Amino acid sequence: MRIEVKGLTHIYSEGMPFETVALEDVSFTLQPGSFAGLIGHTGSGKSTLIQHLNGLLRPVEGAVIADGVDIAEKSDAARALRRRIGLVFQYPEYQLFEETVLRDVCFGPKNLGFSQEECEARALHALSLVGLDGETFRDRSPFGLSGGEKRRVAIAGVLAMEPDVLILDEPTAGLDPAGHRAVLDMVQEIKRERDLTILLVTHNMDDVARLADRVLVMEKGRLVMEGTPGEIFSKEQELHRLGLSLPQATRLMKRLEEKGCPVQTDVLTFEEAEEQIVKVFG
Amino acid sequence: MAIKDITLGQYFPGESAVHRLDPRTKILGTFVFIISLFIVNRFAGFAIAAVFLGAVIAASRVPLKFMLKGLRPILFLIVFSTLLNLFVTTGTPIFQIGPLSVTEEGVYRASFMVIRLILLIFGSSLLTLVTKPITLTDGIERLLSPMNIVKLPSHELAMMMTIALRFIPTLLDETDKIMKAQTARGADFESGNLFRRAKGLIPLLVPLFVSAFRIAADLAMAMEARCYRGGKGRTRMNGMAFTGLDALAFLVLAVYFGSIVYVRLVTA
Amino acid sequence: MKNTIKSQYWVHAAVIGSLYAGLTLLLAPISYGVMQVRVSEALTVLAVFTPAAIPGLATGCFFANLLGPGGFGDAVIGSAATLIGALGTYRLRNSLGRALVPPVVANALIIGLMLRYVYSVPLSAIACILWVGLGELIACYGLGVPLGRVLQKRKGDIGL
Repeated sequence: MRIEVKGLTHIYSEGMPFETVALEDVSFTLQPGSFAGLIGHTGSGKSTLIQHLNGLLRPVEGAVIADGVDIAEKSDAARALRRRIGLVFQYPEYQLFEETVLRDVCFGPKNLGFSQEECEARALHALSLVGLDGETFRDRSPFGLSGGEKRRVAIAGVLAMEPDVLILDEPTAGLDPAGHRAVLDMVQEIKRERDLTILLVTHNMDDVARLADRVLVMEKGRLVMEGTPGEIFSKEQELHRLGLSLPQATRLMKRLEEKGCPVQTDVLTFEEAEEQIVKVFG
Repeated sequence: MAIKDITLGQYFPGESAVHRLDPRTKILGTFVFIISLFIVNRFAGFAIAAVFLGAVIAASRVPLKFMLKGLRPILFLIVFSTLLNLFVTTGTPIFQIGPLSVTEEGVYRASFMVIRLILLIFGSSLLTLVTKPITLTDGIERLLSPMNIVKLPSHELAMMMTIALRFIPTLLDETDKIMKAQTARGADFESGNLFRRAKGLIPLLVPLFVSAFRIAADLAMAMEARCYRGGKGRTRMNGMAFTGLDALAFLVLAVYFGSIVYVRLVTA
Repeated sequence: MKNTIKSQYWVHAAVIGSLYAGLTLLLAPISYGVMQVRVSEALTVLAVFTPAAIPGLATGCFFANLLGPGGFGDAVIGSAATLIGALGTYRLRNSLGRALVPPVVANALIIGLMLRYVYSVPLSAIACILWVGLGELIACYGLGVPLGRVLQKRKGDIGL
């Protein structure tokens, strides 16, 4: 699915004394099958933006267009498209409520109108996608699971709806390094298997550098930078001004360059950094 | 549903004499004022009350516009009440509009009720306009502390009130997040008849309760970890003390209340 | 150990109060006046599960009314009504069907009479009592009792 955002503007408490412009004239396009990273300082409007992308919020001005249809319309076509855009919020495990894992994961498909058999099939498949064995977990209470397992169940709940687009708001928040890696590997795997379009909201530049083919940078409700990770992370000054940092590997290369080492600084991953260091220092 | 739009209470910040009064003075003053409104039995009494209230409002420097905003939700009620009292009361008719007659008694009664209602609303909303909820809670705790003798745990009650107040925005936020997450999964909180909607609230209420009690458990543990032992021997950082200003306020209140009672008795 | 249990009681009460106040404020348009259906009154069912709900609900009602159009008078009288109702629910906690009668009766009578005699609502006392009672009935039996059934099943998960 291709998503075009055109001139999106959103204002909270419009007309009241505490009016806040959360988004101002934001425009960009998510190509089908792409992996985009959305970064920005806290309060830059990231949460508000993603809530527009699946229709939770309606724009004050501008539009979100999925496959040529304005998703804010009240038509069946728009509704069908909204249902194909999945959104995983931060700390999604707080949305679990059912008595068993299977029933919770079935909640989404049930709301879409599928039969009990179809729901269960989708749910079990979604559980396997997140690395949880359906038969072991299906009848367990979601509240008795570990934090990591709960998060996976919550993500499965969204995957069971079989979206074409998956938006994830800091899916690794609160996880230890192993869990962090596991979730992102899982996201990549799912993207590959279902050929999804992914939008990842994160504060982690290393993840963006490693996984994204496109980066969107926000500041105070505006989209201020857009490009490939290579393009974005070459602008250290600008990022610094926005309160954002570079991927660790890039930072390392820049520091080495400052000290006089003839290394290339357009490095994004530790593998590339290693290559550079070996090349220069032998 | 614009949860972010709900402003908690209507505290209007300021440094006026009224703002600076001890919260106990303000609470007792409000009580006295409200009671006085029910002692009044003729318009002269309301005149005194209005003058008193007007003076306090002026002293508090809260803009009248702000106060009038508080009347808006009840405006409908006031108009409805006035009209009903006007037309329904029996007695000496003044004029007729078709089958409906406006009587002398009706006019008297309607105006009496409306004036009292307006004074009541303004008077009680003034309390929350010039006192922060947390200060109010402190004041209540101090006022109730003599009740410790009859085993009323004033400190614990005030602590509970403080915590309850503090977590209202937090839980509203949680509600918002859960609602959005479930809506993103296709949940519908808007359509359907009453029973359907009630059932549809489960995906909202269960996670909300889980969050709420989890917060409670964490907080209790945090208090424990800071050696919280309840009210025994507990002192406060910002002491609460009556000043000359409060003495003056009590004097003014006494004069006011006295005149209300006088007017009532004199006309008996 | 003793302290934790004591602190927990009051903190539970506080959080229940926050839920009540938050829910009332959130649904403000239908929470005040004669034609009220105060959804948060359904939370009285919590008194079946924990006595902490008694002071908790009263506190929640106090703040909800304080921050509403009725102000201080409504806060004091309304919270008294909720307090009495919750006490009754706690006493009758063995039967879910009967447990929610006290709040309906207490609120109907106390709030009804308050609306008539303090806020001069131009309806007869009986009418005020009946209207408020109806709203309470919807909140307590339309939502409260079903909620109670869910809580009975899931109280372990919820942490009650």
